[in-house]
Amino acid sequence: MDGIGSAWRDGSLSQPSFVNIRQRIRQRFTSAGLAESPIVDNGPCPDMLFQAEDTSVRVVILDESAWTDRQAFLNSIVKATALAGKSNRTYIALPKNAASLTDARLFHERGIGLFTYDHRSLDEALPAQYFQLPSMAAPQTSEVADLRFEDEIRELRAQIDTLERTVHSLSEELMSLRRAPSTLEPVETFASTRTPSLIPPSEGRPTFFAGNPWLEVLSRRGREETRIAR
Amino acid sequence: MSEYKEQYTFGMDFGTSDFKFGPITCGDAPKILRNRGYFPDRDSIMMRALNQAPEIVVGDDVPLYLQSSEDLTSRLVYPMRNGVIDRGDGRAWRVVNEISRFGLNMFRPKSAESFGGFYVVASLSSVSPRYMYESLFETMMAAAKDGLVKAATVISQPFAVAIGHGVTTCVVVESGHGNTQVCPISSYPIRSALVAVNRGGGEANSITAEIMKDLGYGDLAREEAFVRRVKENLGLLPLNLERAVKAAKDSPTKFRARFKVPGTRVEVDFAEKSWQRFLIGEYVFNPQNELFHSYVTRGMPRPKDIKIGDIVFEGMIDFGEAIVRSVERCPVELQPLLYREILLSGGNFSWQSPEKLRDFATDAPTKVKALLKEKGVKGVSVKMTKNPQHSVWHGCIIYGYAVPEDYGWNWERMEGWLPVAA
Repeated sequence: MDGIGSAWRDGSLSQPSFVNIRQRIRQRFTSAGLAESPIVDNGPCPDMLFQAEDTSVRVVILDESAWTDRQAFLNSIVKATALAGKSNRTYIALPKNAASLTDARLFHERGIGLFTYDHRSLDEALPAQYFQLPSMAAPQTSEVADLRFEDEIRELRAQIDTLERTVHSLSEELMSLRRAPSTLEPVETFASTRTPSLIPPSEGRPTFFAGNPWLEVLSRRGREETRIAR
Repeated sequence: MSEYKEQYTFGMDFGTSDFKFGPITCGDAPKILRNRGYFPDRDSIMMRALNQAPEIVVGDDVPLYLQSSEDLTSRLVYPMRNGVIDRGDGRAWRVVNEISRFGLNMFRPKSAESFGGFYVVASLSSVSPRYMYESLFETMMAAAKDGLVKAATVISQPFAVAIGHGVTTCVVVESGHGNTQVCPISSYPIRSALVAVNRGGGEANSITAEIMKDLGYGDLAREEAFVRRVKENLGLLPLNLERAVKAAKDSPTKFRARFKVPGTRVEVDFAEKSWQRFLIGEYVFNPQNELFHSYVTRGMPRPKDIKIGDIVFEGMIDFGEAIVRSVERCPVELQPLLYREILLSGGNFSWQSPEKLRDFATDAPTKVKALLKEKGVKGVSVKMTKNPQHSVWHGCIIYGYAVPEDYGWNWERMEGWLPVAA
């Protein structure tokens, strides 16, 4: 009966206890196949870290007491910002009433996800961006790399052999054509039929230029005044 | 005309609601942004924590920074709300400066060595006083320091409309959200004949909100954007108000109108009061009808005569009278030629005329013709501009392309190029 039950008796039903929030976050990620990993953190609101085979998720929790403490709040935001990119996904969890006052765009720009919670539910208001971590890339031993290079070199050699054979046969065909007398009528060359006509610059103009008398009227600006003055 | 200007002529239309901009290479349509800037609360804890908030935000990013709705009136600035910015309105000028640079930077060539700045043609309301021109030139000079502008000029919006439409002798009636300008053109804008009316799309919104309140939609009438949608979907422009109202009262089913917002449960139904649809259009074109008196006596503000700069904006004059006054300030010989081409421009002239109501609801050109006929002016030609939304920008581009580079700026004729590049 932690969380809602005791809080209700205290008259503070609006927010669940810190333990309860952690429990809900734990449920959410363990049900997705991730396991909670320990973090060495002695602060009042330690983070949570979840890991699976090739995924890690970090959650920075801000409970209601931290929201009212400006320093603690700023620390949490800065911490979440610094952590973004060090796990595959980073979330910050805020009380719903606090979340309504924040600009989620700031989190979105940094790839940080946002959980909001109250005494009833925990919601993923903004999904976190997935960051590919260098250590998470598929391990490649030098042995595996060597084998791959050898395969590629073998393939390239085969392709060069094919190309050499093709060039040789084409060369022979060309020689035989040169030796034979031409019986064909001369045909129009491709180039002569496809010579592009010069496009006058005016064709690039917008359609509303077409037939507009102002083009001429305005182009005389300055000239006609000189003429009148003379 | 130089090849340089075929690539680097740049148009800017500072409308009351939208800023339309782009170089000649945009083709037929410019880029459009809301003409506004937002000053975020830089003291808010989140902004300070991450040192994120710029001093001013313009463009598509504005909604991302909006904070509480109470702050909107003070922090969200529409600089051209009335077509004129006060000389000392620093925030409005900051928005103009920022949005101009934003537009120019968007089209700055990435790697063209030949680029030495754009030939910028900006367009302002014809009622803009001289200090607005000066301030805009200062903005261009500042942009020139970053290599964005080579030379700049400013032309009036009605002049740009006439150029964009391709008519050299005409009367342009430009009606925006806040006001309406009537300006005769004969190769040059005839400034001494300018007539300004302190009435535009905003007045149609006001009467729509009053009607909605009367129908029991008072809560929805507080949302300006929603009121505007109701106006656009249900408002009608009557050819003759009395006749249209009588017909609608006699057969309300035929004229009944409902507007439902897609994806919501919100619906506005004029029901048996659907005759009031005609009041919306009529109020913009001619607010003098006694049918409007009851709204005014219940608190709806009447369009007032105001003086901005040197120009008096008349509040209650009908559009026919405004055109006649403007034309009659021109030489008699020119007047018939001006009546021969009356151009209507601006979103405030977009009125639907449903097929089944065509005998009663009309479009803007027909209404203006009818108002002129009442004044004894017949045989006129009234047209909408070919492309009302883009015609000012088209005019800017043609002006910038065609006017010779050596035609220098002159404050008397208010035309020519100001070489701003260092």
